[in-house]
Amino acid sequence: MLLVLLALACTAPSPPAAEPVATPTPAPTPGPRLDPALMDLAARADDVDIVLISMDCLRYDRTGLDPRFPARTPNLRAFAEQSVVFHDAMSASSWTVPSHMAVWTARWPTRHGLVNKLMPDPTGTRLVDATLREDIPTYPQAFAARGWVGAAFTGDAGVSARFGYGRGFSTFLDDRKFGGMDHSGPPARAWLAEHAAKERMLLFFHGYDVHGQAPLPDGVTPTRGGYTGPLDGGIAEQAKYRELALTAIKNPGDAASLGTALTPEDGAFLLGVYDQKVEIADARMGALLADLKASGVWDRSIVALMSDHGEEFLEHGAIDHGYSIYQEQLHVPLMIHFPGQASRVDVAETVRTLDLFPTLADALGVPQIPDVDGRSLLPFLRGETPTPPGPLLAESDYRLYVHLRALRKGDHKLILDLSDGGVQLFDVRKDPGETQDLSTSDPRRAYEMEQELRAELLRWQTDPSRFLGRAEAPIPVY
Amino acid sequence: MARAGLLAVLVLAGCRGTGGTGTPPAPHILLVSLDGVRADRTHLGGNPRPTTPSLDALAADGLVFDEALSTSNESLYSHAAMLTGRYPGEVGSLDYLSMVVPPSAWTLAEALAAAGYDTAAFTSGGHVKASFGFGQGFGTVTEGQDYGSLRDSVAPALAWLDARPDRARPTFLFVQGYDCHQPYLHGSVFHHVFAEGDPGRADTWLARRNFVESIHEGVYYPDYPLAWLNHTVGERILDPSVYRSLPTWAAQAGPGAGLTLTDAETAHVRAHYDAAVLEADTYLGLLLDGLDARGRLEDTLVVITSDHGEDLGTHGAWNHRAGLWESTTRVPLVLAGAIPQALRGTRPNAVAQSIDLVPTLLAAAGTVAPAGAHGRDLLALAAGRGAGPEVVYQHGVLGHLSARTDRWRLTFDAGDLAASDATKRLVHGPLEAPAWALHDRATDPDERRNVLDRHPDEAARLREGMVRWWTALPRGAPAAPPSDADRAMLQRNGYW
Repeated sequence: MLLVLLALACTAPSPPAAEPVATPTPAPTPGPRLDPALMDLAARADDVDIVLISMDCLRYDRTGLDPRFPARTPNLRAFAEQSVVFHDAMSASSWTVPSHMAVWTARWPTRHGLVNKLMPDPTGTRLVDATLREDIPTYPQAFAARGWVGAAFTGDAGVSARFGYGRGFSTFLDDRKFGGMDHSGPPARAWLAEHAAKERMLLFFHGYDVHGQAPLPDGVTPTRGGYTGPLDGGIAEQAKYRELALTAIKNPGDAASLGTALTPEDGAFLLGVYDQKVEIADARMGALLADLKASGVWDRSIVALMSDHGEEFLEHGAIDHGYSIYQEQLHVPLMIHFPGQASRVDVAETVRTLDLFPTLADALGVPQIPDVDGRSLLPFLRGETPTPPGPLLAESDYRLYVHLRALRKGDHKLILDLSDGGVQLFDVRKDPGETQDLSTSDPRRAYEMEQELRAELLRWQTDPSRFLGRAEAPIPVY
Repeated sequence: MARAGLLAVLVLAGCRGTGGTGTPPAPHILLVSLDGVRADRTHLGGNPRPTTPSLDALAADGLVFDEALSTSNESLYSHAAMLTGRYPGEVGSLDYLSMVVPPSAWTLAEALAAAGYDTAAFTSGGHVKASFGFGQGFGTVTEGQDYGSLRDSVAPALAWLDARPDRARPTFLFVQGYDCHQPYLHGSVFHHVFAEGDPGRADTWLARRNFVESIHEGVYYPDYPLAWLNHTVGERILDPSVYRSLPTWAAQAGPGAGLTLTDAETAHVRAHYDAAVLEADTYLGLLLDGLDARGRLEDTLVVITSDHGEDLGTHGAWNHRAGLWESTTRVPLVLAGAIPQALRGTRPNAVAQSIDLVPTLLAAAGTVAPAGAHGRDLLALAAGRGAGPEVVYQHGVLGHLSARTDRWRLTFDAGDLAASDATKRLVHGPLEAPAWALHDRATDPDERRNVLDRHPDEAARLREGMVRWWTALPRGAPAAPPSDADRAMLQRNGYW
């Protein structure tokens, strides 16, 4: 019955005006954002479960957390009502492998090294299947060492255990490539039902429900509205256009582009399909959320929700993600519910997803892993520091075929293409769509931001050029 | 977007003004490189001859670094360091025949252009040309006759200042001249200015282009063949190996092949080098007078320096490339004009390097140095903020590396630093002559005696630092394309 209702809701022709989360206030509020007592959990860490939900490929602006788009996402919005909602969270990369691993290790992709499925071996002479270096610890390992029992229910592909995601987990589901929460949800809920009362849990729940390689459920047809174009919104078509866009990269500095292969109407249709998937994903996530609440886990746990990257629908000439680091691919939802938190806290400042685990470790008194890039957000949430940790970076070495780096500073974002040294500068506050490149009209800012970005890369003591020219064609995805 | 395209646009387009609220307006900047001027041949640096009246006058009201060192001992390498703030080995190739300042390197002029400066370069060709990458960031580049005189740059540089359309923008003017390069001044009005006594055969020799390149241990070998090679950018350059093969060639050619310079002839050649310094200084004076006449001198941060010295027989060679010594790398450095009042007329007891100019000038311009640039802000250093380097590292064009402290100089002769085993020899090779030399400048200021055997601990300590310095320098070797095995694996993995 539930499924039927869900299916009906998802095929409804026009979205009703759902109540979005209210506009975040950008003005910095003095004092604590959230009652510090709610975040001071070290003394009772033995009673606190950790649940991390990752809705892969979910753009912030389609979640319903963004007041500008009234998505029908009652569960995400319910989650927000008792959480710290970060309205401007940046993922460290624009695709799954490097981005989730940045969260797992609290290191930038270049620093954790898992920037592709296939990677140069230590001699740099051949490509081998990648896995996280043994000497780089992950936060799930750190929590496991402190007694949390890890269980992960994922959609495989970019978060497959073999990349190193499995470390610290005693249970790890990764048996269906691009699986959705319809696949990972039932075993996760069953595991939760069995273990909730017995053990202190670290539960990771993940699905590709909104990803271009995850189909709509059987029986759900794409909402065509007035669309009369040729697209069907399916996964084969999505892979085809993804690869086609990459063929536009012929010389260093070229961008992925579909040229005129798709029309704006095609893009709007695909975005509509995506929105359908978001609603379905919301319902699937909501099933677990209901269990968490019914079992009391919600009230005693830290429950965080994130995404690893967004998705492009022709905003910059292509569809899919990974090949660029514009905002539609980096701006993701991030929410943290602390035990006992009863009301929503809106944070407008820009934060980084790789600060998530250091924040949880800080709250729970778990020692931080040394030499990480992530920092706890708690000093900021307690009002002790005026701004969240920085610098705000992003990287993509997508399939060893593009080599992009970004630095966000205030309203400005600089994108550096390492393959040719080209830069673009945007005012993402005034121009959130990143359509006006300011690098020639504001050369001083472009220069200074580029040097700040490059200085950061130099500090990592890893040669940014080490991946350049590695692949003559995009290497396979998964 | 390609870097080259971006920079062309920003150089040509009007850039926004410099100097935000609360910061003083960015000064005009004049950087003059008097190519090949050895510090102790300037009057300011101790030469009893009045070789540098203009520099002396500027120094009287300026900031003088008596201990300034160029980062290399040759024009291409040294200017690459001076204008990027990085060591030559990390800017471009370790191979001289392909060394250029690549488009990926940020130069002083590019940074100043980004900061709103109107930029122009007037050089005397040679190695300091756009073809070697030195044109980057300059809105105007004028390359005079190859290895020509500063004389030819003075009038066009002043004319450029007068003709600029947007007079509100600060200017960066880079002027370079090869007055002190061999052949020293043959035919110049300065030719005999300092000549004393009988020139012997030296006047005839001075006219020859290969003269000072063909002297070894005080003997001139007129028949020594100098090879010219094609640099990858297409320029003809002197084969650097000629400096290494001369001793061998001379030994094989026998005693009859060489002409031993008499003391008078040696003195005559040195007098002509001194006269060349005076020539450079004279045209420098015209340039400075031109600025002064336009009322710009006080608003301009003036920096006068050189890219390398000249051995002048101190180590048996005459040229500057044969080694890293005080003779070949100690250069004049004077900052004047728009410098803080408190620093005028001062000579701080601090070591300065060519790579300090990028951070110094960009700080003065109110912007940041490029990522990876080394060096220190000399104005801050002179004002007592920060400390100079304990060890100055240098990279010579013939594969020499040097670590120099206030007393010691350790030199490693790698032969070819691009060779695959060069780093291995640097790190693990025996610490002994002839690859290594240690000089105690306290007792041997001309650095003629290798005292490696007597101070092995000092040498080992300096070597450790040199190894740390050299191995930490980022060098972006281009990644190799995938091997056949990689390609096969890519196919095996296939697109799903």
